[in-house]
Amino acid sequence: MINKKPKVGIFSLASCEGCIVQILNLEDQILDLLSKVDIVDFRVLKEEKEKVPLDIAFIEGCITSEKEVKKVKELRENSKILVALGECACTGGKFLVKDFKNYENPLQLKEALVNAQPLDQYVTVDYYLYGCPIDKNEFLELFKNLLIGKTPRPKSYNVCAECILHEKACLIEAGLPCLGPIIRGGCNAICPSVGKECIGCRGLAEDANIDSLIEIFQKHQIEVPSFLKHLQKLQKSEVERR
Amino acid sequence: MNDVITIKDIPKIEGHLTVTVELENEVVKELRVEATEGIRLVEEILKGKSYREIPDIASRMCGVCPVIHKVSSTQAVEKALGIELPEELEYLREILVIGGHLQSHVLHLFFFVLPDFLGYESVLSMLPKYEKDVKKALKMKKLANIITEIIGGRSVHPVTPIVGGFSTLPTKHKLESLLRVAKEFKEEALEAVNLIFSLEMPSFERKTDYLAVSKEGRIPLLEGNVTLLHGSSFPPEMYCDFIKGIRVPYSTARHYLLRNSESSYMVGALARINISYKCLSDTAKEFLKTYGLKFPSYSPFMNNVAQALEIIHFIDEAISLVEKLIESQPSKNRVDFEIREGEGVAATEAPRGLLIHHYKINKHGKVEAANIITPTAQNLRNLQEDLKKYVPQILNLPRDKMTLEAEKLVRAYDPCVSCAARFLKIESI
Repeated sequence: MINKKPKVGIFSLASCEGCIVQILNLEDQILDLLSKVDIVDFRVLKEEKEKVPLDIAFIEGCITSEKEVKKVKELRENSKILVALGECACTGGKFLVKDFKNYENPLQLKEALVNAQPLDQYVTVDYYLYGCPIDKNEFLELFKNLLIGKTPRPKSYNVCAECILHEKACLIEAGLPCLGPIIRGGCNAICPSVGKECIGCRGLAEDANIDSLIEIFQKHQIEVPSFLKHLQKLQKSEVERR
Repeated sequence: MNDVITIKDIPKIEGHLTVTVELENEVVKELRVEATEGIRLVEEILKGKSYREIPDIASRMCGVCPVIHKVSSTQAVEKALGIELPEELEYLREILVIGGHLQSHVLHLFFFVLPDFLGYESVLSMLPKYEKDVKKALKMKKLANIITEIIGGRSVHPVTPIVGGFSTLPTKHKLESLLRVAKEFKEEALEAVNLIFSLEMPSFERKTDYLAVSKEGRIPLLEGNVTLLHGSSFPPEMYCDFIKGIRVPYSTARHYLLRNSESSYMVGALARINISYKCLSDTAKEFLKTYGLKFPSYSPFMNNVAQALEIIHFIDEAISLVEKLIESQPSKNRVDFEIREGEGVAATEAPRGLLIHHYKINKHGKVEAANIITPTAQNLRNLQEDLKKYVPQILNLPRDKMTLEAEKLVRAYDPCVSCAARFLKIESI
């Protein structure tokens, strides 16, 4: 991939588009970045061209309809590397509970799925960029790695590991429902470092012990947040799937 | 001869929007603005959640204007719980929100609108000739984001606003750098907006009504009554008596009408300026004079011009608020409160216009019902009416030119379909 300009597409499914905004927020690097690749598809900046084979497809958002299932399958067939951008694409955005099956399906949307699905429910995903939204520097790092043909390593530590470096007092001890101990790091503890509890947008860290965190919450008389309950469900269904 | 023109997934807007025009013997028989964005049912997700989780979830309505969703939802919850913030914390919220507005307006005007008017496919193809301007716009965007980040901790889905105040306050040192950033933004903006004011807007007008939050002597973003240009003014809590949502079979976002007249209306920068242009800052007023701009205007294309005026006005506003805060810093980051049963409505101004967040909270602090009305959803019907009038005017143009002109009108509204498409079952809240 070093000798020619790779063809890149950036796509959006059902989402808030915050991950794409994060890419646009790389104001100092974006022109340089875009000059290194041939952007063939990026609807927010330009019109979609005819389908050409892609070297890298970045996809944000979750799958909520048959139409989107079709689009993702097409993109997979058409792309050498497929990257899931952000929590919606990585896990279906389930930490914000996009589970529609309990709700009346609006009649006009016959194609709608009952559940918001992550990309890997339908296609193989090569790389995951976690977070809601993605961290723009993490995107940059992955982008550069892919351009020089390197495989970035996934992060194995939790949010606490980065929070500690900010030398701030533990939020759980202050009575806040912080999910830092069980959540995948890499965000530089952006929330807990400013006194806001981690809500778990990067998904569970390796060997996350949910039960133990719930025990700690109970000891501190902290109400278990809904975000944690859903991560718990997610972990269960993950185990069942395996 | 019958013909159908479909402008599918219009580029350079946020979210997915399609315009379908049905022609019969070269006459427009039917025209539909179709929101085709995937559904996300945010209100349903909010039900049963704790009051403290609401702002985090509501912020995810939109990645383009998350700041105003976060602050508005926080404000609505605070109203329900009877929480009042000290003035200094209100100022901080206002500056935070201004950061979001500036970022959004710069993105829209310089990256989506400008290429259209200068005859380029995208900002990328503009680069060789307009490199200086593109870089200037990127710098403004970055500075606007820094304003949001200094107060909010992050520009997309800011983290510090919480029910009762902020999780952390910026230090005096941070406020001083905020002031420098704001002044630098203003310097860049004073030059950059000329490019927008010198664009020739297509001549098209259609009389409609405009709705925005207003307050004596100011252009408010977070407080005030909701005001109609041609009519009355009402407190946020009464919104249901004045506007109504209707479901249309071809759109994942609802359409909105004025309840009395059953007619469409426009929200956004043009609505704000049409209603409150007398309250523009002195520097912004100078641009009015220099370019001979007149308000109220009935051309939706003038929404672009109104946004450019707002860039100047709101940076002036931010500078004066930061100066006030440096002089008198907030003494604490949050106020204490008790959980109680209640209902709260926040009517605020998002970059794209009037935004309503409405929550009913039970005695355990859990959400019983939620209703969120976004600006783009409110604008869809008015945009459709505008297109119905505009498309026949441009029908004689070659098809690709006509499509581009229609897209220009759509983009003038700065639609954000990801916020608007939530298609919920109508709750009687």
